Amino acid sequence: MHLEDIKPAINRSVLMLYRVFAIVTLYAVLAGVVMFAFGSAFYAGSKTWVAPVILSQGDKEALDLTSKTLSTQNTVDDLKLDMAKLEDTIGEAQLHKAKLETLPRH
Amino acid sequence: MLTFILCVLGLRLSLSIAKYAWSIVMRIGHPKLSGLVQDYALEPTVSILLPCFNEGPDVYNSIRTILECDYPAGKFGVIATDDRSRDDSWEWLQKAAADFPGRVIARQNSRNMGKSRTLIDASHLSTSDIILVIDSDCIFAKDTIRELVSCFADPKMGVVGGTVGVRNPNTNSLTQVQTYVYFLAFDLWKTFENWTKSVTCVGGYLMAIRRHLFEQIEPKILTRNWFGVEVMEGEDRYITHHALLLGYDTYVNPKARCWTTAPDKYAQFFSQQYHWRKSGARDLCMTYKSLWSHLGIMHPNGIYCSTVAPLTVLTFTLGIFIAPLFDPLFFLHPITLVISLATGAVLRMIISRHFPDQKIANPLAFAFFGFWWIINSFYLTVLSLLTFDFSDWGSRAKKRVRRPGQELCT
Repeated sequence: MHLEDIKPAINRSVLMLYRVFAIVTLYAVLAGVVMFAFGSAFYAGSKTWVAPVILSQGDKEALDLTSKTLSTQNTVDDLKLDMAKLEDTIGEAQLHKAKLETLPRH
Repeated sequence: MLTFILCVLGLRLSLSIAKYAWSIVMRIGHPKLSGLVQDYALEPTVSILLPCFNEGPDVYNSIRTILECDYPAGKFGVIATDDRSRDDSWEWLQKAAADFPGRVIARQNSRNMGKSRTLIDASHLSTSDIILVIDSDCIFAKDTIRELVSCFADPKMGVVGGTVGVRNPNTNSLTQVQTYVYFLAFDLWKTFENWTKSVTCVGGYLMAIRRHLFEQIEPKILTRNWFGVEVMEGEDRYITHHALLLGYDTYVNPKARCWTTAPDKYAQFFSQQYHWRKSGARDLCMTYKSLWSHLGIMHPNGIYCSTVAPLTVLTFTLGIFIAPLFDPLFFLHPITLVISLATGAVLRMIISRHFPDQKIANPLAFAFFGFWWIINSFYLTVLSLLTFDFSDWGSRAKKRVRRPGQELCT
């Protein structure tokens, strides 16, 4: 079988996949635009609903949270380091134990 | 993702600076190399192909003004083809054939075939040295043909175009915006490509091509397809690109001028811009598919314009989607507006000075242009990328009815 023989079938398959992808993507874009517009209009008029807010990195609370995140991350890193050291110690102890067990008993 | 976008835009900026700096150095340092060989005594035979679809009385004006050109009457003629218009275009073509006997051939396709096939069929009726493709809604300056033809004094010159102006710059804000768009797209940006004689798209509104070159490219035009679906649009960019790939030079002669009526309705404008964008996107795919064949044949400037410049549009589209996530008021940022207005003021000054007939009444229209650019990038790029399996005549879906014999606007 030559490539030319199956080319129309390949073309049809690719075209079908392309069309499905195109329709899904275009409707997703449309839905995104409608949702964005609806959200903007809704929160422009609503005084009771809590509106989502984008905090800037320079915001006081954002800075506090950033420093807390960093200190927690440091603690996590320290603990990971300790764990690694302890695991090394356990490994060494087990190696030592294994060597001792190989010694002849009197 | 943001880093990626900034990297691509940064690359584009640095390459652009290098490109323009190099072009300017070339222009100043080697004026002969970047200059054009013209011979105004050159008078080859010219066949003017005018494909037409739903143009109404405008098509008659186009034929009349092109026939009024300062060129020996025996050396050029019009082959006008109606692609089964839904309006009265065919009647106007017949009237033109009757009013200018022996100089206009009016024909009608047996079915709607699209612009590319219409052009090819019409070209089979001619035996001229040069084929000149024109748009059916343009009017032409008297020296247009001579200016175009004179550029073929250089045997390496394959395709020559002209510039197009707007006939209705101040009809409404939309036409004002388009006056800027046309100036940027068909005058300013072409200038730098002209200096290396590697214009990547000679517009189909006014495109002269050597006959043998057209015949060489013809089979490729006929077999253009997107996974089996025939492509009927963007033949101007396609022809130009293949001329460059065959080692020919391409040029836009700013002295060859014509004028078109810019769309004054949003639907028409949207359709026009969508087709332009789709044509560019198709070309980008073709370029990447055959990138290696460009090297060594096409001028580096042409390769840049075909590969990097359109990529920026795609990157900008990604940016448009992502930017609101970082700053919802990104589009209304004062700096954006200030840059837009400042650019508009400079462009308005240039247009008013060089093209007084296209002076824009409202300089603030450029702010609207900035807004349109966002919409354009946001939706049209995506739409064009996802509708490659669809081809039509584009913005000529309008239907106007004015029967021959009624007063014509000039």
